Amino acid sequence: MPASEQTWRDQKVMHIVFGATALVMVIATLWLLAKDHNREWKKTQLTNRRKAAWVVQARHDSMADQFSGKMDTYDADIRRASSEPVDPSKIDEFKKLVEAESDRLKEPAPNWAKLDAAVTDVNEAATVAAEVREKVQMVGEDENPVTDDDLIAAEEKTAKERVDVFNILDDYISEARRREKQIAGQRKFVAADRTATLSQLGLMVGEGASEKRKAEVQEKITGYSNKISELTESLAAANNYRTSLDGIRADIDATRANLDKDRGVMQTELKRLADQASAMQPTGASRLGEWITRWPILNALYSGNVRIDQIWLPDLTINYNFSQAARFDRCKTCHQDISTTAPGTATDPAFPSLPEEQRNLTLKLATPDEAPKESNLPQEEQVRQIYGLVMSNDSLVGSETQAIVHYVLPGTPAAAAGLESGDIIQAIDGIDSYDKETVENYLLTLAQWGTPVELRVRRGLDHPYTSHPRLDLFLTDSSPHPEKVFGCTVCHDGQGSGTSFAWTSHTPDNADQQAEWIRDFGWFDNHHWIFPMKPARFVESNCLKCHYSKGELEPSERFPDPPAPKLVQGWTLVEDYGCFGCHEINGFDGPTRRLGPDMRLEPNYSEVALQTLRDTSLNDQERQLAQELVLSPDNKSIREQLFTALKADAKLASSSETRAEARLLETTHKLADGLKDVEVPGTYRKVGPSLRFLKSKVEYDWLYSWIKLPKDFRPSTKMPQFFGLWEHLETDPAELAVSKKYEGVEIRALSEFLLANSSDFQYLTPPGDVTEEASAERGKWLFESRGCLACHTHNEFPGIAANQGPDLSRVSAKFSNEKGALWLYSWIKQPNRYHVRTKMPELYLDPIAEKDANNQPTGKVTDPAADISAFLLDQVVDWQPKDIPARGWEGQEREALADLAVEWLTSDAIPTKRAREFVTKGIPDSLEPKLKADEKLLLKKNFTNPTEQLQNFVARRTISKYGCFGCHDIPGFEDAKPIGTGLADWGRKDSSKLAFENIHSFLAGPGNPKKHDTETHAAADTADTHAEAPVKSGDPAADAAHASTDSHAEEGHAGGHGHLDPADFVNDGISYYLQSLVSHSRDGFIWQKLRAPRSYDYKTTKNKTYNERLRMPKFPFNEEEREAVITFVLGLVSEPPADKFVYHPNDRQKAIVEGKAVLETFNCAGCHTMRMEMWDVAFHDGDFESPVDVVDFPFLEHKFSEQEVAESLVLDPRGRLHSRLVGQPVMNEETGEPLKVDIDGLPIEPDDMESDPYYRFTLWRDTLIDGEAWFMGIQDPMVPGSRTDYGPAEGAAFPAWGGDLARYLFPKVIAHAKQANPQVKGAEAWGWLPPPLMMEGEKVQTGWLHAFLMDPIAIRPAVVMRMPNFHMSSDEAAKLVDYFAAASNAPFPYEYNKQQRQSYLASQEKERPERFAEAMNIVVDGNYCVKCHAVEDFQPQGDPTTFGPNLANVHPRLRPEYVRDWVANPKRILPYTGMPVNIPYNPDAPYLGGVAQKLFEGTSLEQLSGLVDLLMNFDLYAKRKTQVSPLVEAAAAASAPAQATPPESGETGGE
Amino acid sequence: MMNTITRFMLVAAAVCSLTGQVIAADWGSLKGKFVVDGSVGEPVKINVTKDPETCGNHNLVDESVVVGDGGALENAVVFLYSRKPVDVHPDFAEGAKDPVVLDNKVCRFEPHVLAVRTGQPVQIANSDPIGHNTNAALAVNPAFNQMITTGTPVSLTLAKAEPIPAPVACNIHPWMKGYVVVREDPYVAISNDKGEFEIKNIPVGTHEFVFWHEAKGNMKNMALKAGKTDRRGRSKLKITAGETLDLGEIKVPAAAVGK
Repeated sequence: MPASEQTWRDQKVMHIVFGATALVMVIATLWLLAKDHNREWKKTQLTNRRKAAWVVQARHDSMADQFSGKMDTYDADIRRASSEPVDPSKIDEFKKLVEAESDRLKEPAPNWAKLDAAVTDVNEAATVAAEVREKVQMVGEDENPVTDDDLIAAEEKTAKERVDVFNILDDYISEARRREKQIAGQRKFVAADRTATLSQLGLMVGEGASEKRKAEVQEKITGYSNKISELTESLAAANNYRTSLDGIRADIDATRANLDKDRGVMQTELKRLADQASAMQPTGASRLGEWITRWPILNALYSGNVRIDQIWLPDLTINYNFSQAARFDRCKTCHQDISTTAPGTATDPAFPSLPEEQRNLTLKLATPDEAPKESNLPQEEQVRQIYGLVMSNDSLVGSETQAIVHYVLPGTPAAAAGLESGDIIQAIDGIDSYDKETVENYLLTLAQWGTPVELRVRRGLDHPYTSHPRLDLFLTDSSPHPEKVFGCTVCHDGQGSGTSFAWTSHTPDNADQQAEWIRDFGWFDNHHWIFPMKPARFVESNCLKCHYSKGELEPSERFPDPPAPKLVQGWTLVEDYGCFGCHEINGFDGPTRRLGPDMRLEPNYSEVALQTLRDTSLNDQERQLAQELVLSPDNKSIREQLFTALKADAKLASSSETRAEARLLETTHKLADGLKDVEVPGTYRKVGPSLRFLKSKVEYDWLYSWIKLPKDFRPSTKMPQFFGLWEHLETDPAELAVSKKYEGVEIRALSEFLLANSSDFQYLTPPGDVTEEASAERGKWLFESRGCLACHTHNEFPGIAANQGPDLSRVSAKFSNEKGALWLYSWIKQPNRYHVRTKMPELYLDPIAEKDANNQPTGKVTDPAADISAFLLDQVVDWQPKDIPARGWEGQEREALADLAVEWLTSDAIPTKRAREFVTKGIPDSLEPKLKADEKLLLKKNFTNPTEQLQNFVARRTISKYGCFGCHDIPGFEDAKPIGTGLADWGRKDSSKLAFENIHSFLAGPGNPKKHDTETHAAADTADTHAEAPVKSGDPAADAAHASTDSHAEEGHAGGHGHLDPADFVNDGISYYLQSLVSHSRDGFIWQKLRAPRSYDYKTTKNKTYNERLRMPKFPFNEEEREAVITFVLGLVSEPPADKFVYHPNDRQKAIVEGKAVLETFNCAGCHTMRMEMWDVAFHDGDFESPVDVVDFPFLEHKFSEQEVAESLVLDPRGRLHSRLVGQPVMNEETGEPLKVDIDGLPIEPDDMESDPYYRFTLWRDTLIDGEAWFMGIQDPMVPGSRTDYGPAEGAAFPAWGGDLARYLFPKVIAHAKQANPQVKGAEAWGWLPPPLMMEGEKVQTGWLHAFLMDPIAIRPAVVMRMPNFHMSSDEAAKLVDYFAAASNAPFPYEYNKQQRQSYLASQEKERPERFAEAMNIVVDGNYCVKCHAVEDFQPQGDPTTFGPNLANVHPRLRPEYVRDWVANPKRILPYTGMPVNIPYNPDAPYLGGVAQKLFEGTSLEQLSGLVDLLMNFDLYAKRKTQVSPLVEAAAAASAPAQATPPESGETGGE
Repeated sequence: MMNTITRFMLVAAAVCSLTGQVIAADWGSLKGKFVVDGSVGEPVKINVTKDPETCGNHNLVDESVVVGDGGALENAVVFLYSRKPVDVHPDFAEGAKDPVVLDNKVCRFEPHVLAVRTGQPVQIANSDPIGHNTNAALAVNPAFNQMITTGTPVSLTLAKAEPIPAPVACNIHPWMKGYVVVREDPYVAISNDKGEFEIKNIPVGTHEFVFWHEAKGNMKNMALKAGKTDRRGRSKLKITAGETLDLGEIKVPAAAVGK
């Protein structure tokens, strides 16, 4: 086509199109620029900057205000200092130096006339100034002819004269400096010459120059060297001269210079604050500059502080489903001050994040007694003067201005009222205030004088302008989680790379917050981001990513404030309630790789062995092995032997040729597999009691009642409720009827089966030497004092509650027959005989031979086990099993049993009709190979008693269905596997895999939480009737009526059927979960699952068989506990970060963490104090008196380092000192409560409300208070106590860990002992109770402790109870030993005691051969050890409460340093001990004190070390007294006449 | 200018207080007699479980309440209580440094209640042929618990006053208990076997006195001739120059000593 003018499109149109698109483009570009310029985070940062600058400015202004007063004084002082006379002696000194120097330099003597004249002038002027000053000060008042101005003039004149003097002095000084420089210059030149000549010499050597020339040059060098040393000397002299002159000059001017310096410090601080404020918030020109450079495009030039702040974490990756990506946490972009600490502190937040309830305060500000005088000063200034309060109209973060406290001057009424800078005063005496004028006006004119005004104050800041809580744990460099290493999202989740509120996936904590966020920030639920932020309530969950042991998250010495309390509570609940019995939590991937916490049941070795023992065909060896394995399942060698033996028999059985030789049952062969090694065995024991010997313990009626509803008998039980959970069926009578029918069958079948299937048990009977009948009265005291209350609660003993074991208040109703009494006696006496894996220890309840007041046997022997049993059974309890159907399966019940069996048998392979036939006639034997184990029960050949077989079949299926064996040892279920979903990664469970079913309609309908809650409350009051109510209303009509009443009730609720608005439940604290259920999140799912476990079955049961219905039981958790459990489970994500982020304790920390788990298993802390109370006391200088100095053995002295002393003198920003006290307050001997005394140290009477309380605090650790050392066991400081709470007046009290029983028993054992001896000393009673174990590691030898834990022996005769035997494994004992050593910083796992080595003893005895004998003199002397201690065979006489341990047994038990320190001064180890100082140390006495020389010659130190060495080697000492040779000779002599043959080795053994 | 005036006033005040101390040198006394109102029963015999050959032959009885003829209550303690140091009569200067003796004698403490001033040495002696330890539960002073052997007394000096009489015990012989009253001044009296006590040369003025007995601690709400004691066992009493304030017979209900 030829070219033409014509265009493809019309040009005009095109112009319009181009024009329009260009315009669109421009607009779009501008829009883009504007959008970028106004990004959300920029505004936040600017606001934050303003806030921070405001705070700094307020601090600056406050300081400036306080300084300005001081400044005036400073100016006057400085003027005065500058007009001081000049001390002529200083001038003389100066002159002498100058003259000496001139003399040395042989220069003419200087002329002093000018200087002398100047000095005279100064001193004359100074005298005049002093006179003027005196006149100004003395006369005062109006007619004073001399004014301040005159003084200033006089002072200025003097100052000028002084300057003249200084000028003259400076002349000399600069001359001296000039000379010094000159010499230095000269030396430099000479040195350069020398270097040049040296290189010249070098060249000459190279060139082979003549010796002569070389010598000449060498001479030159030597000349230079000499010159250099000469000059060096002169330089030193000149320098010395100059500095001396300087020193004198400075001396004369010292006062002024120091004042100047002080003022400089203040000014610098003020300047620093001012600079800081302006750096944060540019002002003036720089502000304009910033404003311009922050504009689009220009912002390339911007270099200020408004910018994205991000932490890059390349190793801490995030899971993007198919790849691991580095984290970019930009959270700090908005949360700018998240890690800012208060000035001068390491971990106090600069902008505390206060909980809402602490943000609204009502403060009382004292007013003057009379109306303030009229004044011309501005209101502002008057308020400042009267109240010390300075206010401003401003806003910290918002846009509205408010009446804000700018600052408060210390020591003023405003400070006393507790007002702080930044507080917003919202109302004054009920009158709203929006500006400071209102407040000021009220304070100056309207207040009621003499009565305080009430201020309504809003304190603190909103997010994101606050700092993170617990900066000791998080973000700061000194914390374990510095922000640069961990960032934010690894703990919080959320989208770290986001920079807007909505896109970072914040998660609201409740429906109100959600509504607020949607309104204010355009928040939305971003379903596509799989890691939404954890809501505040679950923030602790993510600790589990890196912490796999509970002990790591519990309070510790370093972090006494619990680091993750909710998570730890949840973890403990999961442990206590045995959730892991059904829901395994496998924390391992392979033998070593960890994924998270590990909670799995231990291998069933004991149970397998017990079940094996049922096989009567075991041979003796197999039986013995099985019996041993029952008691020590951790013994690998026994287990393998038994396994091999059983497998050998199984092998015989497997071949048809040898089948006849096999002895053992087929079930036994199968059991053997349960003895195999497990790669990483679980460590948890089953939480419920063993049911293996159940028939020896309980009756059918009780059992039926218990299974049906455990809390009916024991309201506090941890056993969950399996039956009667029918809320979801209440609207569906037909389905409800099915449940009722089959649940009844299940309960009966279970009860019958568990009894029938259990093994025989041999009861224990009281030993023959017991003479006394069992006594409930004696039993009561034994129950209380022998430690039962450390684990059990009992109504008879209010004041102590423990939940390690069950509440025993009602056991008499459980054991109301002869069988029960026999069982209880056996159980108390030897619990592991009945339940081999029980945690209940053996208490050594051996018969007690009663003694009279003189410690002589009375011939009466009592049996404590029988007494305790009698006490428990003696209680009158108003409880009985109710509505227990008669036994035997009759009529309808028999039919129901058969129906349920049919349900169980019916499957794809077996249609219902066939199943019914089987149930009626039995299953043909020919089908046996195809049957599952339980079904074989129904084989025709076993069908002699069909009802019993059906019952057992149904029972076994029921046990398998509900997973009873997850908590109980049930015979025949040794190989059963946990039935529930594993929870190891449940925290990441895909919510599409969760069956929410019809949960919304349930919650909107019959399961409405409001209705449900009221019902539960009612149930708590009348547990018994509630449990029965649904059963009684059996007919459908009644149920329908019931349902209709419900629907009536629902009309009251907003929404009614079909609609559930989470916002209605904000006040119930559950709106979060309901919202979560609405959006189908796992958080809500698990909440509802725990709350009403069967409710997901709502309206689904019609299409399920009975056995397909949900089976999760209901645990008796309250809302708080539920949330704790959820926190724990949500943290289980099996997503371990890179190894370096996982918490890896060092050996000592590891020992502590692992040991804690064992301590918890056996509830050691029930009796023993593991850690004393810790009081962080804040106080003011002078609150504590100084301690009295004491003289003691030098090795007992505890020297605090200078740094420690300096730290104890540091003042906090509020001017307080701090000290950490470890120990416990002195307790009242009658009440056992901490004793409160008044300021004079006198006990405060209970009705005294006026006196300020003080506590006498028994220190268990040496400590520094106000820079002074207080020593444990010497003096108890008196600590100002809080008037409202327990603890110090200011500061915090962290509770003790453990020892509840000891504290509970303290007053009781005193009262008990007083019956025999009214003069009992209270403090000593601690010595009769389980000892605190903080220092156990330093005290005992590791080997001894291990053996003791495995097999405890009685040590102290004085104690009311002895250490029981927990039958722990060697491994558990070893962990405890390591724990104790690690916790008290003692060496472990081994320790080396040189004092017990031959080499040491030999060297000691070389110097002093009779050392042991002399030390023994002290031991056996009537004044000392044997007064109270048994020694080997010797027993002291008297009252056993005064006795100490047998000294012959010290050597394997205690560590040598401990014995030395203990004997030196026992109170310094145990403040309560009654043991006296026996070898006193007195540096002024001959032999440094000590015991009589006739016993042991030498100083007290030598005596002590001799005694310790004897005690530590008592076995050696005793051995030396034993002679075996005479025995051998005697034996030889006895056998000699008969025959001359040498004796055989076996014969001597009989000796 | 203000400064100057204030300074003057302070000096003046200081001078006045100095002279005040000198002027106050007038003295009076306090006396009285404790009588138990009601029966306290027979003294409880002590069951001697230890060292019967030494301790068993002295008819030891529980000394927590010792009542003489006519109900005279022994071992009740009266002492002047003041937060500031009080003037001490010059007569007391002599003897302030003389040691007082706390003896372990026939397996009891002699005296049962000992008064001592701060800085005054206590000789803890043992006149028995057997060993005793002396364990003083001091609240303010450093803890003391030492073995005392026959014939070798141990000297102890206490630096601070104890707020209440401190119990002293022997752990070997669990029935042994005594008390030591440690005060900065000498104004302490312990009632004798006639129930009588007297504190002499007390500076004139109204002072607070503490009445204390070991059985129940503070003798609270006890009627005195001049008023009664408060719930802390204290009473403000006026001492007049040259006179003895005689409280006469002070009736102590038997219940107030735990009987």
